[in-house]
Amino acid sequence: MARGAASLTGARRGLRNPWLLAHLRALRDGWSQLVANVLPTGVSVAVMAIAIGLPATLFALLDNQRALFSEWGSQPTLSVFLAHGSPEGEALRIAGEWRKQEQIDAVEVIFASKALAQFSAATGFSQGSDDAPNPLPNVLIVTPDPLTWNHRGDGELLKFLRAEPLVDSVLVDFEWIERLRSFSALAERGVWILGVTLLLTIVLVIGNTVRLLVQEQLAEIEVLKLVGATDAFVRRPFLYSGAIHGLLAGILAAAMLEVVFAVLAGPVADLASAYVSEFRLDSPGSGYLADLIALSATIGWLGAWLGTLRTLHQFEPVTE
Amino acid sequence: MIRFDNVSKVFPGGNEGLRNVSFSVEPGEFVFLTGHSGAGKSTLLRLIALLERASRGQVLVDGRNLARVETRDIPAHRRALGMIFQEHHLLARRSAFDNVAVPLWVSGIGPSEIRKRVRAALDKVSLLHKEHAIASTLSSGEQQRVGIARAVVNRPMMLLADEPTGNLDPTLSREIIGLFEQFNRVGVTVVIATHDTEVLRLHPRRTIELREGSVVSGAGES
Repeated sequence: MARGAASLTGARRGLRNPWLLAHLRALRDGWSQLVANVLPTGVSVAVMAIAIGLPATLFALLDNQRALFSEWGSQPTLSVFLAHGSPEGEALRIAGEWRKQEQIDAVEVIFASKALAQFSAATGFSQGSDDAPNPLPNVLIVTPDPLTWNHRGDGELLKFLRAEPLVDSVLVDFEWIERLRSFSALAERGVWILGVTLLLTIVLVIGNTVRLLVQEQLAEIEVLKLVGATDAFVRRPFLYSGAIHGLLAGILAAAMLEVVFAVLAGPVADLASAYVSEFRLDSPGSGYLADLIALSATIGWLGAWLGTLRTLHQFEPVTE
Repeated sequence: MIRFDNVSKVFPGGNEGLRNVSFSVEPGEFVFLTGHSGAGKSTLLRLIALLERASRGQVLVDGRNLARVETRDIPAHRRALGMIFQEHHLLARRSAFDNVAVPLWVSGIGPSEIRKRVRAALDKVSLLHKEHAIASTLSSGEQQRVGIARAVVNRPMMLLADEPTGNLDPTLSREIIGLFEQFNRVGVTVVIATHDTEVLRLHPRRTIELREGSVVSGAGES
């Protein structure tokens, strides 16, 4: 013990840079503060890890959802059903006219006969007799021009399409995607609010932990101030302590996030294949995790800074 | 070296610590500051170390008006002088070596230089053999000597001691004052606050006497 303490100034003889040396000493002191308070440190780190891991995980999940949307494609289409029994030639004529419209990008024609054949092939159902009338209409799949299309429902285009006498109905079949998108935008906003709130919580948790550490060492701090230590010097070990808190919490949060993704990956893949989708849950890359850990350490540092703010000034100049 | 011009100190709450105190101490002088407890000795020393600021009047140290020292420059001011306290104010869980090294690491001095200077300072107070001992395991006299080693390790121009013999028996007291006399011989200005009449009798030096915050004798020529 005595030797360990003495090695403080004696061991690193090779070091000449006073600045680096001061920081190494502070780092060591900050670390020993944590080691001396294993239980409270562990609790703070765990609280911080949960508080930072939760929004981080949600963000990563939202990111995956974005990938899913892009798989669905960003071009909305409208399904235009023509009246029953309208001849295929008419369908081709209408498609040809519509293609000339500026507000329409593309028109695909699905003939009733072809649709029926596809349906029979896909389901195994066949019509009792070839003479029975085809229940399916001719369908035109219209892709509006993305520049003029207003995704909230473009009244003008719909009006134009419905003006064609042979049009029976127009189905805006991407509406549910739009709704889902709105929901997810809302969810994203919610995660942001949650994230910011939890970050503030972490700053306070760390601030409080460090404030307790400071209280515990008031006598030592007083000694340092009496012999002429600057505030920066006194504060430094506490800042390192806070940053180490944050670093450990960040690593723990990253681990939690990986576990959550590993647990979810299987069921999500099953669900996706049930919907004939190639979608797979991707755990965020190492860059995301590194950012997470760096953010966590920064927040720990910031919290520690707040925690030392008030206490240090009570010595300047002392009045009794 | 030190000059007080009509200095008063009023504490929050209205207590008057010092009242119109004027005196001066020349460079290289050895001065006792005496008076009953509560007479203002500690307050006076704390004003010199900028642990307090004067309410009125001027405190000059080494020609510098302390009222003009900004808060951020206070640490540097304190590093330029050595202070010794009755309660030692040591880092209890650290070794004697570390305690003496504190002012040097605060100043950002490198390890080999620290080692040299700390060992020299401990040697001067005859505690080199205890450099690895944890401060709280040392006797009161030893702790006071560690405090003195810490005060001189930065080679200050001036030593301020607040009741340095307060807890010590007469033999140890003589040793401690003897140490201050040694430093004084090499030119260090020494101001010792004490109410120990035995110390004053054995070491006849100029003595500034305080009573209820005012100087009653020994102010010296201004």
